[in-house]
Amino acid sequence: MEHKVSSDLDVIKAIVDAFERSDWAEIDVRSGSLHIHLSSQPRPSTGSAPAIPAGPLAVSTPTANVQPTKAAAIPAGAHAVLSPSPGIFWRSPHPGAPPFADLGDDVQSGNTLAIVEVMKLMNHIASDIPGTVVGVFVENGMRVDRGDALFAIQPSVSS
Amino acid sequence: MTTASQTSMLRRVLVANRGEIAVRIVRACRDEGVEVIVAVSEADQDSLAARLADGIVHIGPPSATQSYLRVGQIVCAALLARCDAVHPGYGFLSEQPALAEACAANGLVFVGPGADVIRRGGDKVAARAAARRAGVPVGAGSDTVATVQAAIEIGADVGFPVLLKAAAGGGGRGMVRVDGPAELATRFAVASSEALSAFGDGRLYIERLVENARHVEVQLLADTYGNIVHLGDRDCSLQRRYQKVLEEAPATAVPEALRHRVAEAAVALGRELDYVGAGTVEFLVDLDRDEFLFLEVNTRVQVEHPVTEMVTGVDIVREQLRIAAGSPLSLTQDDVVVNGHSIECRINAESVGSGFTPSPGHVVRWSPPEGPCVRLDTHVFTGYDVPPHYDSLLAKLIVGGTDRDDAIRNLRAALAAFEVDGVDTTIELHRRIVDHPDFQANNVNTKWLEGVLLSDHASMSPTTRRDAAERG
Repeated sequence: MEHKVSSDLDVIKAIVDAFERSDWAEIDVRSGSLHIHLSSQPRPSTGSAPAIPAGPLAVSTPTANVQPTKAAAIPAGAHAVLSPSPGIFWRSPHPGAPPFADLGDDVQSGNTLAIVEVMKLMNHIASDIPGTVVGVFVENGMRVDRGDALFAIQPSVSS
Repeated sequence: MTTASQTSMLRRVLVANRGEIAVRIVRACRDEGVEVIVAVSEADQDSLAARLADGIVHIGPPSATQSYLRVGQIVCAALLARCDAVHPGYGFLSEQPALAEACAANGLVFVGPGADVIRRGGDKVAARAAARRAGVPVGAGSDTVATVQAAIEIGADVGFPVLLKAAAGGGGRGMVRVDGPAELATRFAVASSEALSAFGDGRLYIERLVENARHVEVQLLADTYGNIVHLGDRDCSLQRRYQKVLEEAPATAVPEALRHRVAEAAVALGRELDYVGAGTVEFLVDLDRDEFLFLEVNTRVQVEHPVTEMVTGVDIVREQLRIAAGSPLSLTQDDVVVNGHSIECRINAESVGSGFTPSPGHVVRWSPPEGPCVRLDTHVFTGYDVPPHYDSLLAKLIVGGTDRDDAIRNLRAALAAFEVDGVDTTIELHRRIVDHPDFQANNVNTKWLEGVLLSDHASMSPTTRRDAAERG
């Protein structure tokens, strides 16, 4: 192997060169005092949905035995849907897709509201009652703990 | 054996992985006298591998799709850290030809085979064709099957039950059992869409299902001079949902003559693929028919490589580094001697009692066993926070003995002494496995764990489990 110590400038040139020859949309690497960010497009606004990795299987986890961790602002009469495990909260099946359920949506019992990803397992979080989504407490891509309130569902008035 | 200059060496390696395998690669680099830099996501910047390495490069947010799975991030991290090589470990980008290609295009050595070998070995349909050319038996079945009607005809031909498998698949993902033609229409659509979402490729093929099978695999090492050796076999029959749980070497349940043929077949396929680096050829051994069938090639280091290292004394990761540097293999086939027996238990952060749900969190106490026959490959320590973003492997407990019975005795003692608080683990499951008469008699197959042990385990109450844990 050739043995030479390259300057920071050489390193930056090599990275820019690699980027220009590639189809990579964006590069962001940092080591010590060097931070290199390259993008073929204007930097996206904050809050863009990170890609959800393809999971080996999607499962539904019962939430009946989960105790709430902290008080979320659950509207009076509404029902809280809690996270069954720690994990990452995803509101849509893949980046760019509309959310499973949004504020004001009517949902049936068993409808998927979100995914909580934990250790490559995709847990579908389903509403356990029919009703209307009146609260969404976690932002897409954020970490949640077991028992965190994810949604508030106002039960349908029984006919 | 062809030889070359022994002085070729890598200077500085980027580890493009995390967890226990990152620690393993850091250690191998140290032993080889090579500097080592670890690529870390935000979730791993204080990891054990990061602490042990000569330096780290930050490659992005915790989500693997934004860090460890991005070819550009890995290549630029290697350039930024002035590395001359990239070790991909297993999983993540290790079997993606795109990383091998991007490394080559940017003057970096990829520690593994070239992109074309990864393609030919990694595509299951292409690998089956290569196996046939090498004279290696492949399961009755098909190449890519395009339609349900074609699948029904092939199923009728080879006989149900069959497995629908993803051409681009691996690790048991995208595999669906079909018991009869009536099920094919719906299962075909399910398998194809699963394959598409998991691998970005919906192509399927069909294999006859072997009911009473052992999973046996052969470790290969091949250098750039055409030298290829095998390091014997491993038995990885204890699986849950096609994921390996416990592995051992050698595969003593298989008759000696058959094991010899399996190893020869693996070497023949390695030659057919012009293989370079460490690789594994996986087979199903059909215990009822005394036959073996090619399953797949893994073009990377395997999770379970330590059992082979323990019985052969060969350091597979160091050999990978030497091969990547252009050195010839340090051993010939005659140098490979298998001594004793070794068993590996995968210790996962999972709650066995509640359907193997993942159990990330804070490790309050990490007290692993020690001893002359014990090796522990891990990135966990007391106080470590197991992140929710990655797989659940906490540690691999590898225990040896003079023979299988001796290894089991040593393993039982090691498992009894292994104590972890804070996260749920599969340690108790392994205690139950090694205590079971079927396991002790080596009378298991790939269905045994789910069909026998875990079907018993379902009836075990949490209290019983806790008592059993305290008894050790």
